[in-house]
Amino acid sequence: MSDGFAMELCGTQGSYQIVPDGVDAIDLDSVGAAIEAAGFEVGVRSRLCWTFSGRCEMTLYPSGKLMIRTEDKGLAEDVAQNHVNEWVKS
Amino acid sequence: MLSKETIDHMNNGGIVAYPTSTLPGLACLPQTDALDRLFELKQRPADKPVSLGVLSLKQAETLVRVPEKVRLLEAAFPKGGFTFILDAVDTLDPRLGGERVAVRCLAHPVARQLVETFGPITATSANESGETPADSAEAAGAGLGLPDRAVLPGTCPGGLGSTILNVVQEEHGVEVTVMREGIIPTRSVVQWWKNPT
Repeated sequence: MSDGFAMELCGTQGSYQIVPDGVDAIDLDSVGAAIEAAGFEVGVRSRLCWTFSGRCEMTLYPSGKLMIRTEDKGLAEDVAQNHVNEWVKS
Repeated sequence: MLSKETIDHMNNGGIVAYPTSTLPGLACLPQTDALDRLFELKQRPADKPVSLGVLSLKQAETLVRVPEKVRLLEAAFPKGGFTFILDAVDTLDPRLGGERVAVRCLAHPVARQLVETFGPITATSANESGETPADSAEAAGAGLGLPDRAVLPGTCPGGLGSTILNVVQEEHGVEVTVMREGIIPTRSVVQWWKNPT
């Protein structure tokens, strides 16, 4: 657990699940656009999720959950802070 | 190539009848208003979820957790023959299964064109619940009273639907149960599962 979000390592695939505290649903288009504006390239853009590539690969869900695929825990924590403090508030 | 009318219809929450490699299907975007219409049209109880049609299990990985052995199983049989019930990565609308979501890799070129255009779509038979499925998207659309723009023509082989497998990831490995025997016989699944080739 970290301040403002839960961060869990998922399986053994070098992927982290970020669940912001107190967030049940987001506007996928708004938050997705904020992540895109932060320099990530959008892959899939659907009603069920958006995917991104860049410093790491990510998938954003309507619940606000963000899956981050990277072996670098420090990078995952950095991205998680961006998600909780900026993107998810878009 | 999908017509602009069909694309607009889908984007506005409409429902489209389309051909698959087994029986005609009904597509809508996986969003609340479209699912409302779909379940009303099919007169389907909300506690009976519909499956999602995808291009591949790779595409489905953003939505569901796909064990490696299931990936190998799917690759060993004709595409479109299975529907897999899997753990959702993120909880979906209960009418899409919530935490347990059924996905089917679509094989028919028209069905795949729909997914290439819109991403995952609903993949449920194009008939009212309990009624006998038609053998073409046109007949299915007519039976449900869908307008022309909501029908992507194409005949279907008919017969059995996809074989539905319930996949559970246990501590000691993956367990698969045949929930409905369809176009791929249960014995073939069991044989492969015991001796993957």
